[in-house]
Amino acid sequence: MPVPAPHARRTAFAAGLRRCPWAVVHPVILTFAIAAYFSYVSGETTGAAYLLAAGLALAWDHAHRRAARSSGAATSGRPGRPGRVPVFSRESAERRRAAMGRLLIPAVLAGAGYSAVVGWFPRYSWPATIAVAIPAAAGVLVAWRVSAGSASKPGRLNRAGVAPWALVGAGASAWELAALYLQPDPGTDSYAHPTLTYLANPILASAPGRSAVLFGWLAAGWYLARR
Amino acid sequence: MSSHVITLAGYLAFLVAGIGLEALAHRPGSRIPAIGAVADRIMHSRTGRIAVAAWWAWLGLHLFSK
Repeated sequence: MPVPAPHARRTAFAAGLRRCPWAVVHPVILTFAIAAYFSYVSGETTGAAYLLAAGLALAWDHAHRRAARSSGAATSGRPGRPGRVPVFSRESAERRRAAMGRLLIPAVLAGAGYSAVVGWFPRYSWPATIAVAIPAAAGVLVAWRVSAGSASKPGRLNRAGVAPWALVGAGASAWELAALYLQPDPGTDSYAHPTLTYLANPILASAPGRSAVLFGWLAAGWYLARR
Repeated sequence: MSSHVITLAGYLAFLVAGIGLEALAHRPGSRIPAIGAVADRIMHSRTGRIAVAAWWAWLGLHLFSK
């Protein structure tokens, strides 16, 4: 992907800044804003701030890239594709998967060691917060970095086929939110209306349980990074 | 039936529905994509990839952080 000239980058930056408020009207970004609100009313200020920051960063990135594409289309004389989000190539994904395949055994050992140690930290303590925030931030930064400078089109899925998945995902989210709202207040757990976090509490109460969940969380991150 | 049991049954129903869809997706000629294909499609866009990574990060912070 060619690097744009400095004046073109400044133009794209200014255009991105102007478009940023409109970029907030995007389903993914709105979802982050709604999730930030629910986190806030549940008394989870750090989580709410994190979700809001992630949503705003996505809005900025979305606006900036759209502006850059529009200015690129204007200078090349070709019509832009403002609705199309750039994607990374199949080759780069295959290279990444091959590299991750070679690193699998060291990563499993490192993940097991990390989970065994961090699992002993009490939940909601500063050591646990810092220990979890580091891989969490690294995962987001890697995703941001990996998806930069891409060129190919994504494969299309059958809309009718995707609809049942969307229904299950939206339904499960609505069920969880309903349980959250039926609690005495969003910050107080309820036996009568358990959220998934409440149901996970018995597992997360012991160090081995926390270690197992942490290992599963890291494994999920690894799985997603390979996609 | 208590509200606790109803809530648990709801979660279980969505879990079973997800497993059922995945099983249907693996049948020959199925129009339903497997969950891996859906994840691939979502993560093929820059916004989707970063959003999924951000949700994963939030989950860890939600369960363990202050």
